[in-house]
Amino acid sequence: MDEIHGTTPADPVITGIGHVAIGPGDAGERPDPVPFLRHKKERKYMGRQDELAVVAAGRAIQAAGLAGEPLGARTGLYLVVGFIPFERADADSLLAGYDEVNPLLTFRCLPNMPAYHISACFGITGPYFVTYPGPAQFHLALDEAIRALAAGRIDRALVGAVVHQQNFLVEHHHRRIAHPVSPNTLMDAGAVIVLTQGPGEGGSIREHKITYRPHDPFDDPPVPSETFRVDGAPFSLPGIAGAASLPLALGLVGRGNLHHTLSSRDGFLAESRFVLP
Amino acid sequence: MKRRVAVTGLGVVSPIGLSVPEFRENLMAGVSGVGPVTLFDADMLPTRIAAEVALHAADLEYRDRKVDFALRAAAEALRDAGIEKGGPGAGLAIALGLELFSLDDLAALSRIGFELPTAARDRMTFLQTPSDLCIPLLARRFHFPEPPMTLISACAAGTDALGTGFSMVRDGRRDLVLAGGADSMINPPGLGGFSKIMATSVRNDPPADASCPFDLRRDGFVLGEGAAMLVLEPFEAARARGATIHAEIKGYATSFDADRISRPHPEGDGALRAMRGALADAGIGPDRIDAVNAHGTSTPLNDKVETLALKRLLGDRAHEVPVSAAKSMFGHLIAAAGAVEAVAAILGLKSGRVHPTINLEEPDPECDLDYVTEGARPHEQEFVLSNSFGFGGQNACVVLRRADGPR
Repeated sequence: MDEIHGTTPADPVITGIGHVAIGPGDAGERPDPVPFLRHKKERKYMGRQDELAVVAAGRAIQAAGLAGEPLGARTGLYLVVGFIPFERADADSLLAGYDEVNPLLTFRCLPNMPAYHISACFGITGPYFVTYPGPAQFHLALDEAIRALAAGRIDRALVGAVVHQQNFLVEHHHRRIAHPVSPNTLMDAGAVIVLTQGPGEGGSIREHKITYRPHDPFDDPPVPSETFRVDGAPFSLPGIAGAASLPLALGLVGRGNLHHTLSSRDGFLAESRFVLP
Repeated sequence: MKRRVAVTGLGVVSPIGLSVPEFRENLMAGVSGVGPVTLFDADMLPTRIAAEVALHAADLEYRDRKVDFALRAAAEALRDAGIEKGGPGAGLAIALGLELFSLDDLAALSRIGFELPTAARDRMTFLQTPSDLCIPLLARRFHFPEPPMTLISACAAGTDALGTGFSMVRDGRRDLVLAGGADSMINPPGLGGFSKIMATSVRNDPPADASCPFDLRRDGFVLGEGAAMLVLEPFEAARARGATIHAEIKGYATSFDADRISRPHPEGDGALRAMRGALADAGIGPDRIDAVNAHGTSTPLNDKVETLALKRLLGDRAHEVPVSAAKSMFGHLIAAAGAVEAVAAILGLKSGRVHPTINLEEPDPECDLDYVTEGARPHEQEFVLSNSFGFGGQNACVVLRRADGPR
């Protein structure tokens, strides 16, 4: 079990949170990454997942008072990417033959592209940890970031998640898996927190633990469940935000004590408590 | 306190061998695994060659080839380590390719009007996103109950998996890690997508000559497929149980280029930062590196920039340190590349040889290091640097050490 407890002065401090969320049924809305782009020509390479990632990171960096200068080699990026998005029109183009395929599709489908765009837009040249695909992996990314900060390998970490779920492939995926999910509940979201090593002013991580239960994915798929409580009262996201659920909740709550529990469909159990002043 | 980390098990499924002994023999002999694409009809593509694993549908348990590759490599690695199963304290660090789906699946879905398949097993495997299957199958079959880590940093992911597993054993978070990568993108969307952005070689004839890292004629990488798994455990624990220690992992670091999407940083800044970071993590200077296991993709820009970055790293020794690129033989295994190439480097450390870089016949003036072109070169090594530089500027490096230290 990976478990981190305590509130010693050296604990990491949350100095900024940024998020962007497109609720179920709002698939036509698009976040605008242009204000954050360092190379405007790279806009054409971006899919929605990349846009969500850049906007969330940009807002988190602004909230942390770090906007402007490249963040450099002492900043690390710890990012969870959701299931790979794929639109029906792109699927149709593949079936139509090689000549019909848009070359930019390749860039939009590679799972490490959101990390690239964040690094390029904000000048992050330090270490990274890029993982996949669900809410449990955010805990693993958070854990890696906390350890890198504690070891002095970095001065600050961007820890986040991005999901583009309102599309043909991901909706299909959620309809067919065990314990299926209605496409009408899926959100697109990006959410990023900025962590620095304490002491300092900001939010704190009071508890954070994760365990895993090996299982048979065919005969014994875990039943997913996730809860949030804010100052003891139940809290709900507007839809299913997948990997981005916890950082998105932190962004939406903004202030208070957040308690999160997770039993993920890929076999993880996680629990965490945050205090946001 | 940091623990020393031993590699005690190796397993490989590759285009040049379905086991470590077969892989080692062909690696050192400079055998190419590149041939015409047989997994699908590639006639419509500019690139019609690939490095395929010699396993056919009848040999496979799962629709997704990479799942079988991973399971086979894991079984070999654990058998090699003398470990039947993991147990408490054992976890996975796995790099996975996440290509979308096979076009066969998509075509089948189209034929049924994009309705859901009905059989339970097909519901899990049809149009699958692979980590849904690969990670739980590995964890359950080999009893690795700690939270598994999935790395998806594209071409750097295999090295990231190895480095993440190394860090977890060194820090005391895990007592046993199965680390590695598995990938297969030799399907229409995979090979077609890379062809569309002109990343792959179009030197289709003869296929075996196409992957030529550091050669003036290089025009892109050759797509490969496969898997490698490595068993990592604390050095002292491995010694205490009498395990064969193949090598130590001494350092690991990552970096971003934070530059342009379609090219490496022109001065190799990101690559250099990762290499220096890995050496610092290992507690050694560049003067201690005895050989470099290069990323060496056979793309025009990568090989030139990697050469430049190595010159900046090694300084006056740049022309004295043997450099070799295994992709010349088995192509680019994408998410699995770093893991398979780490196995290649470890086999070199153990045998006192550096594997060759085949097909380097017309030297590029901008690639002027001591590439090993004459066949496997006898060369005692204590430390080897192994590089993986991902598309999108994600760079990962590990430092490997011979198990018995200096000679």
